[in-house]
Amino acid sequence: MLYGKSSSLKFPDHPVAIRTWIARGDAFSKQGRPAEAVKAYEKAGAKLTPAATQNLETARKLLLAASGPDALLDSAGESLTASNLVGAINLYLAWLQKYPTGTRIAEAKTKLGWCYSLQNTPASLKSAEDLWQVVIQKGPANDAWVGESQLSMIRLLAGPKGKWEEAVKVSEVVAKNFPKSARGEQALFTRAWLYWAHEKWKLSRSAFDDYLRAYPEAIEHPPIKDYIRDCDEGLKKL
Amino acid sequence: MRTLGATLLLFALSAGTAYAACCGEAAPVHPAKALYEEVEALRNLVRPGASRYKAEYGAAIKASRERILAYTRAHAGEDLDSLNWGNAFKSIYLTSTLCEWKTEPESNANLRNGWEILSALTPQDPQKATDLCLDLASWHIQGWATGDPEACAACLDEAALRFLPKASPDATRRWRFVAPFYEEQMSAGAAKLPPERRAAFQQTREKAFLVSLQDETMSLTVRSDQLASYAGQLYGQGEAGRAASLLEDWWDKYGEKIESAQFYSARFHTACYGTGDWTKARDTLRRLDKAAAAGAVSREDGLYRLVVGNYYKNIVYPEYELKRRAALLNQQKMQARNTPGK
Repeated sequence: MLYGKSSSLKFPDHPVAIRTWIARGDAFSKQGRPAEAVKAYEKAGAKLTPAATQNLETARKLLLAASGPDALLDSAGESLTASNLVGAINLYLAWLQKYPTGTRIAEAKTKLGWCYSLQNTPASLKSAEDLWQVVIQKGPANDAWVGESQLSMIRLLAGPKGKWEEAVKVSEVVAKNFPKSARGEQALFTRAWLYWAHEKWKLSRSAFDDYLRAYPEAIEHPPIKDYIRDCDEGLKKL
Repeated sequence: MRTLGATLLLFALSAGTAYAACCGEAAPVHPAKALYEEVEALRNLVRPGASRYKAEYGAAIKASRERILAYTRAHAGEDLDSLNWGNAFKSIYLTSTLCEWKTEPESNANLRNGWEILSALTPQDPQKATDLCLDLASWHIQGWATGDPEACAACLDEAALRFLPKASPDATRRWRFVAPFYEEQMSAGAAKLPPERRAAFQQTREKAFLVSLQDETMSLTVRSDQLASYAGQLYGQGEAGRAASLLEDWWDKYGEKIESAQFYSARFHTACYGTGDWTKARDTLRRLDKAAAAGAVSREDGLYRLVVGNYYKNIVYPEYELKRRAALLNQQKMQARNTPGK
């Protein structure tokens, strides 16, 4: 075969490779193999023809009908990891439509929020915030996806929304709900770091002390020593 | 000009030695020592390792090699001054392998010529010639492992089979220390092979590499370093999953006995940037901290500081973002690897 798999692997962005993936997707669609069709079309990336785009959507719907909730959600996760945001959003939305009371609903909403936040437009950031708020309000305080949504909110508040003090408050909640865990550590560190970044030396020093009480081994870590030194020097200047 | 310069330098060295001997300024230098001094002077001039084939020094290297071989033939079985002769022999082959030849087959023929001459010797210390055979193979593989991995793999296996059983304990230990690193270099060189040959080659060599890691006469730290280095090579080729899997098996097998900063660094970076697994990255730092607290790893070690620095650079990222970045990085590495000419 002239335009075989090896050519596509060697030159993935070459127009011939893209046409090859589209042709494969078309062939798999005709053969009623939606999973393979979706994979082939996704390899072609954003350069699909209108007909191929329609075929892709059909293949996804067929896949959705055929697969269970876990397979579909995992497939959406793969699209997110591969930075195929539009594909991931479509699959998460399809999942939420098909399984509105599914056991993994908090995960689906949190991850759909991640996709929107990566799109990074005012409208998509608002959609992300709304989704995370719903997860936080409806789930139990110590649920892993509630924690993930809270951490996502921290980044949204501290970053695009410019409300770092609110981010600190959410950090405190996460640190309290997830003690002695990676999530709790992230929250405690982020809280101290936000104070440091905004030159609130006294609060930052106190927050780093909290961090070190929970994770005492970090006292030997040079970056932490540097942050604390900055705080102490800042305090002297007050 | 450089060829002339090298020739003049060698002439001056030989003349100087002869003059000193004539005038009685110093005790006569043993001819093997004179040869060794000559080849060392040449080696300092050529600086093997700084770059490959150096046409301008070809004639000087050849002349020096032929003088050492002539001395070897003339003194075979009689009065080889073991230390100086052995060092001169080793040194000229190192320089020759890295700088005299344009291709692996040329260097390979030179290696075999060396093996043949050494095999015909009957020195006072019979292991000396065998040890030198291993050293010669070592230089050859070091010089050509990435350029022609398949030929070097064959050479490595042949040398181990022919010479290792008769080598001295020191040479055996030296070989066992370097061989896994050569496997790593050959794995890097395999990226240039066509995909169908590459997969089969890497599979065979990885198997050999993993067998060598089971050699408990080598310390666990050395073997952990070797694995880390190999995993780093795989990671650099976009094979993060495979690298993570090898490191994971080692972690499960040896646990807290591992005292290699290089191993922890490889596991941390593979987890953080290769598979986007923050939990594993965090666990690795915790274990590294334990090793540091026990004094097994220094907190001043550059690798320790690198791991800690990267930990705090990434702690604010959510795991999905690490995974996404890792996937993109791996994709880029695989694409670079599959692009001809890279």
